[in-house]
Amino acid sequence: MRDGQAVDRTNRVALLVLGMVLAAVGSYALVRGLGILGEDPAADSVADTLLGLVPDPGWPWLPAVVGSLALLLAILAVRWAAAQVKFPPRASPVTVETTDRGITQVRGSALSHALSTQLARIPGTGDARVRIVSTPSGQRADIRLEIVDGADVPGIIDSAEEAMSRASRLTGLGTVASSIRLVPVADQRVH
Amino acid sequence: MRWLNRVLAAIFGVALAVTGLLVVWEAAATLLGPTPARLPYQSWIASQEAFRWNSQEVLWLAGGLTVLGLVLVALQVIPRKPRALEVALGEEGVEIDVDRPGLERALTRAATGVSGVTGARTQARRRKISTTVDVPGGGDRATSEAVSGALQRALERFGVKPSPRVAVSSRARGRAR
Repeated sequence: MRDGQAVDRTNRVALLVLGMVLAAVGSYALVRGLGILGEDPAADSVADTLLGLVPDPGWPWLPAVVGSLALLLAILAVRWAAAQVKFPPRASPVTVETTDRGITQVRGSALSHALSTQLARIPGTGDARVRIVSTPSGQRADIRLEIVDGADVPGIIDSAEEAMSRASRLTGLGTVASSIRLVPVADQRVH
Repeated sequence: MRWLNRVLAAIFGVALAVTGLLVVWEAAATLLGPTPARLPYQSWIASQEAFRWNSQEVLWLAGGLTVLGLVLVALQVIPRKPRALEVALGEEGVEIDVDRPGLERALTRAATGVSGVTGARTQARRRKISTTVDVPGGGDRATSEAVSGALQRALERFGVKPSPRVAVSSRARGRAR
């Protein structure tokens, strides 16, 4: 799953649940306040009703339980809010060779640039952008590849996959999980 | 829509986090004994005693909450156009898809390439591709079939899966080329 897709999905579910809770609470208050449940409930004090929801203020474990649940909610809410502004992780340098005399490393951005140039040279492609990021399960390459009208799409994908696996072998990246987004463009846009 | 959701999520996330931390603070203060740093919730509740369920303020607040909740629900259940459509090409383990706006433009170009078509507009969804073509004097069956064929060929090139249904409609618009 690409960066951002999981966050979008979580937002959708969480906001849906939140919306349903708000609508339910609001409509209950409206129904009660408009006297649909009777005149007496409509004339009750809101504060007294809300305090009546507390099981028993005298129970010794109540603050610990409420505090724990509130802490859990706060942690989840902080993580949720932080996920909205979270930037994707950058790739760490890739170690190509280690000898007695030193270590040879390739910067993630240099590898991305080299791969982008190589992919853009495949006949039928326009601009190519490769972003290599480190994920908990390893390195990941997200590719955005422009395809001109009439190009041999399966052939381009084969070439792109070949270029990726060649780069993986040369740099010792190992298996790189990748995603390719094809962007169809008009022939005139490609120079 | 996704950006609006992100903004809303950030606002609600911060609000829920602040509320949760205030409750944690109050619970800790209750467990640790009376401290001067406790929240003045008793006096706050006392100040709210005057509000009844049928008070104007409470009814307005309830109405606002209901509307806000329904708007939030509506925003989430409205079907959205996908960012991209999956394609059945490439090796296993590599996610490949085609950019939806780019595909719409490519299909529009394919439709306008058909003889007699002066303009086109395409909307792509996962299961259906809808294209409206401008044909001077109105379209005939042959033009629709030719456009449909051009769209199918363009889709097959990308191997979109599952193969969406193609619907072509025409309208009498534009001048003959």
